[in-house]
Amino acid sequence: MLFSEANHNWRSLPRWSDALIRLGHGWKLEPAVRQIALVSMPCDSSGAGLISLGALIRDLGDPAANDVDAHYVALQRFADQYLKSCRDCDIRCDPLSKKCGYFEQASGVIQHKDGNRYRIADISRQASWGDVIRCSNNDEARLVFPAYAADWRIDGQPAVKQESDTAALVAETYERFVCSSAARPENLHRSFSGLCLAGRAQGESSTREAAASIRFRIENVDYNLAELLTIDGWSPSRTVSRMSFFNSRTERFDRYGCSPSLVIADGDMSFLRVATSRQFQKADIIGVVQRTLERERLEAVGNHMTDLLQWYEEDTESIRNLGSIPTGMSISILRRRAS
Amino acid sequence: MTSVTASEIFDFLENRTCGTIERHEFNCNPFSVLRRCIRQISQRLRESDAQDMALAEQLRASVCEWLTSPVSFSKIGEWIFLTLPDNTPQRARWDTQLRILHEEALASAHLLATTPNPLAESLLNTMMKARDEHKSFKVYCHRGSRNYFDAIADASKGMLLRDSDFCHSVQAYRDTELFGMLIKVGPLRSSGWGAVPDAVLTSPRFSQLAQFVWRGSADEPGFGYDPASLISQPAEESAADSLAAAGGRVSWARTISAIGDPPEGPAIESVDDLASYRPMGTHRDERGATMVHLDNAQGMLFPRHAGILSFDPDPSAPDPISWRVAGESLVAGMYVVEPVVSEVDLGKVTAGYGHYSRIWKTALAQANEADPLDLFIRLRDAGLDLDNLSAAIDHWCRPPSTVIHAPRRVRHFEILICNLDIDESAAPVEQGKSTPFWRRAWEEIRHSRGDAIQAGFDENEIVQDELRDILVRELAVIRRNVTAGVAFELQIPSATGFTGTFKLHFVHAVIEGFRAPEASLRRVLPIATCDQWRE
Repeated sequence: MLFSEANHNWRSLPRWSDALIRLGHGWKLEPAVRQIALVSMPCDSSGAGLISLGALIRDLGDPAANDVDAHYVALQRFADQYLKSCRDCDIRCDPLSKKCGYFEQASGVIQHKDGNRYRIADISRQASWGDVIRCSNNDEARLVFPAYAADWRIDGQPAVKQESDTAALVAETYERFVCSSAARPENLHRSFSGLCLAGRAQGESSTREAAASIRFRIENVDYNLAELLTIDGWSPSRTVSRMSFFNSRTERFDRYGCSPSLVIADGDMSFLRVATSRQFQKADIIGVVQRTLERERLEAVGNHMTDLLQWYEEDTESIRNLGSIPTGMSISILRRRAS
Repeated sequence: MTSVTASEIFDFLENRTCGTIERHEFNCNPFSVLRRCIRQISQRLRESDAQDMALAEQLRASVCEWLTSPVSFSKIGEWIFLTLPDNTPQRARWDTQLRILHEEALASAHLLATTPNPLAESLLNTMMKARDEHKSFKVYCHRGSRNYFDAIADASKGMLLRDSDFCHSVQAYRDTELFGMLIKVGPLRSSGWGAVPDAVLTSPRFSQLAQFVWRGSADEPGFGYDPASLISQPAEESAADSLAAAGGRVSWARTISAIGDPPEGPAIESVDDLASYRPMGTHRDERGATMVHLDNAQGMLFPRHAGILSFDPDPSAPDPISWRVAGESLVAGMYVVEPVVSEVDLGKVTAGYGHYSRIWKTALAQANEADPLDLFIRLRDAGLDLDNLSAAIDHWCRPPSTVIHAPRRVRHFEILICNLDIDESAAPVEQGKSTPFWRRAWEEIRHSRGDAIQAGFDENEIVQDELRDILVRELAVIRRNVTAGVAFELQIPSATGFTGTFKLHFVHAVIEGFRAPEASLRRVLPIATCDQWRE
């Protein structure tokens, strides 16, 4: 595998990139113990994207890392919010100022895999099926059954499952980054939103451009990091999305009802926004900051980490497991103390 | 956008193994004496008359500049003779100690006037040697200090400093290529005069740091701040000393060379002038500020955490026109809106001709009309010791406008009321209370003042909200006008009741670390002007 950054010459994968991919890949999610890490870099980079890539590769091998299993519950939640709140809401959608208890609007529109869109009408209980979602458009009314939930998606969001092989991910591409990794074939066809990349405060395009500037050549095929991350809309080919995106400038997810278990924040402001947001209270966070910033900004991050020490302790074991860290990179990992 | 890639920087850091910090520490006894005298004069002036505050500030700024730039001694001498001549008019007000310090400062300036600055000479030699050896270097200095470097290069007759030889901001440092040597005059500090980014130690783009300092100028404890190393490394530990130990960290080797006079006597004690001036440098009328870097080398300073009316051109932004905080929600790529609006009349708040004010103002007007001199003497003898009492009495007689005109201090108001012949029977009676008349009347005045202040706030808020609403309505027009990186103007529609324009300034960067006077905030200023208020 070859590596190129900002259209420079191809070279072998540099140590710093490899270290970050391994950090993401080796991140151990412990449901009962929240962890927060801070990676400081000597310059601007797509470090957050590389950690995300490592975590994505790890998730490809995890049988539970897919949105299919909980998809019907997500559709129900979406329908419920629409029917109870958003359908009759008389103000421009701003859940935070309205204090309706939701983070974002539910439009009530869902899309079948055949491409047709329908608006949710109600949730009804069927004797033989349990709760089903009834929806309709100008032509017809349809029912969304739990068993066929994967055929439906919330409008504007990636499909949870792609049957065709052309829309699936290629295991070999990802397995080349970490030799010990093995993707589960079913995950190559399924989306996942438990992993999240929180973009830079400058906006989504800034994070995307930084990721796109890193390219890999695998078996004579070139890939850029932005497309390997499979974030919805970042790749010209419509495929499954194994990672959600949180726009820290607009404070919006790219999909409805995201509740990630690991968030990788790109930049100091993104890290602070994620670390102090209610939406990420339960998620592990890895923040990537560059040190070529004003002291005030560095201190804002440092003070937040120091404040966390009231409830967290340094995870020396995880740091030791990282092995040798490239010169210029420093990493701090905190884990919540057992209560 | 930086042209050096992350891979190149990591490769450089891996290959360089250990950088060097060469600290050249200079001492010149007359210069030390001069600095001590100026420091003590400045401190004493600050503690004395208010009219000498400006001079004290001028002295402070000059010493800070001398310590962080290669200013020639002859220039320093000239400055002293101009600013503190032996016949300076302020001397008449000064005590003996100040006069002694002044004379001592002048004597030192005389000695310095014909002495070459050893720091400037050594700096020039270093730069010339680097140029001869084709070793790339950059000077990190304040934008306003560049002329001193140019001056010593010009004097050498063989050296020309280019723009690319300088670095003036953290942003410029971030975008710089790899180079051989960083030159810094003055100690390593994260803020204030001669500030440099912590990144020069934690993220070096060079292998050698040549530091030129005057004896006593110590580096800031904990300089080389890395938020990810805080937990295992105490903050006060110097990064240069501690970073060598850990695997992923950047390592430095230090050398210190002492140059110049051996220190002599207790008068030439080694004092860190920059550190001792720091607590003095905070003015009551200055506020912590953040600079928004605009086009054409211009900037706007905003109070830290202030809401800034701004436009986010990102089509997916939920509130394109909104109040944002610089450095938090207002970031590069957005536009700052500067409304240029003629005065708007939203109607005025008028203090009611209150129950109590009507009574005491009638009594005051009668007494003033009957015998103004008698009233004046009575009030003066009672302790109402205002310089312009007669004019004040006339002013207090005036009917209420936005406020009830009355003495500013409660003690004065009590004296005034107690010396008037007031018919309290007309005043409202408070059931079961025996509050004196003057106190109830004072409460009424207090309320009227509070209302007026609140009205001022409300009026400002109403105008600001109205302007935001107009911008929201004009969003489509704004989007049509947007060209990335270019400022533009928008006429305010006449139907809105406002006349004027909105200036939309493109934000190139948001830079923290300023402390500026109130009057300079929220105004478009040249960057060089803003730079003088760097902390």
